[in-house]
Amino acid sequence: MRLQLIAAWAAGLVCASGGLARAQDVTQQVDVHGFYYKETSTRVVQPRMEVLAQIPRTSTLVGAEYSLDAISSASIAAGNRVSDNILTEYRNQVGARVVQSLNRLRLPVPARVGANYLRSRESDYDSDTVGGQASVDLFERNTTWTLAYSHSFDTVYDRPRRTRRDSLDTDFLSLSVAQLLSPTSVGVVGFEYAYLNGFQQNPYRTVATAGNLNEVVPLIRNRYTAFGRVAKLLPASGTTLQAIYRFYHDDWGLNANTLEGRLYQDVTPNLDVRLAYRYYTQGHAYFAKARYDTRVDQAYTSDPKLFAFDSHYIEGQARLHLSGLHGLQFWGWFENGFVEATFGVLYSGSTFGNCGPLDPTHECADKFLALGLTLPL
Amino acid sequence: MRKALSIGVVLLAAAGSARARPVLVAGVGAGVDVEPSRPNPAQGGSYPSADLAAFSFEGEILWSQLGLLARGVGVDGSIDYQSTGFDRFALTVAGTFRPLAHRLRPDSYARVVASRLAVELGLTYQRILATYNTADNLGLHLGAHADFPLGMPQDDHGVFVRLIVQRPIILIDDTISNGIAPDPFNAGAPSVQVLGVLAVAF
Repeated sequence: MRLQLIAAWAAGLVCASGGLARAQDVTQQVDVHGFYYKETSTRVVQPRMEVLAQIPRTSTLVGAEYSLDAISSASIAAGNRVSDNILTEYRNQVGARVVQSLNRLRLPVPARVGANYLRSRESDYDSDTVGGQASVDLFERNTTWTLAYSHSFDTVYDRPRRTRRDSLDTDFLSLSVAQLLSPTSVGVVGFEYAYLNGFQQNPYRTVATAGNLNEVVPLIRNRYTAFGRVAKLLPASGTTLQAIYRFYHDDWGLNANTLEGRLYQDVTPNLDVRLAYRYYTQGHAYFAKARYDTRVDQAYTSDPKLFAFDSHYIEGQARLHLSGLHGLQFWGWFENGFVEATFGVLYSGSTFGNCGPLDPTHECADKFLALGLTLPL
Repeated sequence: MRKALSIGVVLLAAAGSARARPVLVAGVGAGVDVEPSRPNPAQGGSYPSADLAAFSFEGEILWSQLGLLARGVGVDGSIDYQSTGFDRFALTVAGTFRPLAHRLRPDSYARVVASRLAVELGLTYQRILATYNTADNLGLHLGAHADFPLGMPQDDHGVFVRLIVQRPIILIDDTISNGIAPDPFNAGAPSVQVLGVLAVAF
């Protein structure tokens, strides 16, 4: 269950580097990445592999991805507060997608449609997602509109009893537009809406301030996100600057703001680096309280993500093109690819989770490490 | 293990001396893992067999008739398969051999598929996780695969679907406690795994 959140967070970090532009400009490649995520009581190792290739003599791209989360958690994270055992488990995920250009239909403007499927399995959580996407280029490709929809069918299991516990359905809709602002700058704005209906609490989490009752949160959640991004290339220095802003609101009363800046710098013809900083701040859900009155309150939570907190994320990335391997035996096979190393630290405020004043022995810094190899086809 | 390493070194050396890069294959996919019936001494009789979801990724270095394959297969068995209650992740290194590669002219789709039929032989290591326990198994890997190109290929490159049938033969069978069976038991191996992989050769 917890893996869903961690994986989404880690994937978000990596995908954020390309964002919409990368999604729209699909290229044939083989990508292998390894991720390591460390927080106070949890370690996640995640190898991931993705292939994306064009079917010969067609304008159809097909792709598939696989990722494995190997997670180790201290027992307290698993809801067992008596034992010091380490809980370990796997989460497997596989996805497939197809993107079809509509050029043969002789539409007045270039357009593409796509479909994707994602299947995820772990010991107490199954998830299946189907989605579709359409995009259209306007004004000699200076403007690109993208509309996407997906639906997730999740099932939650009770691990100790090995029975089905409940389900969660999620509808996700997004609309974005990317606009070339000048020969060296581009802007993106978009809006996302998600409707969640079903079991959304952690089945293992209890709420000490509500008499150790199991966590209960509302069944329905409407989530809204508006975002914008501006990128500017400075050709003379080989520098790209990006600024990103996201505003989030949901009907649980939680508002959040994210500000992010990125600097991409070409160091040599084969090496470029990226530095990023992100500030995140949020309020609390309307039912998140320091103490509950179980005779009155209908919802109880001790989820730190539903209480007010802020965080600072700092990341550095280096990407090395492997053209220097040209002519070498064996290693020369990879001369067209590049390797990538990313290291990030997430500093959460002292009000988040069990770090800070509540437990000074725990550091409020989560660490993230990723190593990857990408081979264009 | 030493023999497998030796084979790998020889294959890589042969590739290096040839200077031209062999075809590389990468693919990911999913399929089914068939777990055998297991004895249940506590209650008498045996646990039934079960079909579990399996997920895989792989890479292969491919010469005209021989190949060197690395494959990972994850199996989710912790909730559906109550008699087992553990997850399995297997890493396999194997040599592959295409017996018909030099005997058939690839002038039709059926002949292309036939010429790419391959058998696999190698070593497999399995890491098995139950809630608070782990096991490590080591064994032989036996398998076969067929490649179905998406469209008629001009050469060895391109995108294709690979259908795999494989079975490990466990030589070192570790025990595991899964909280269901009263005593630790041997983790064993699946009866067979059938996988479909979307792959690209480049």
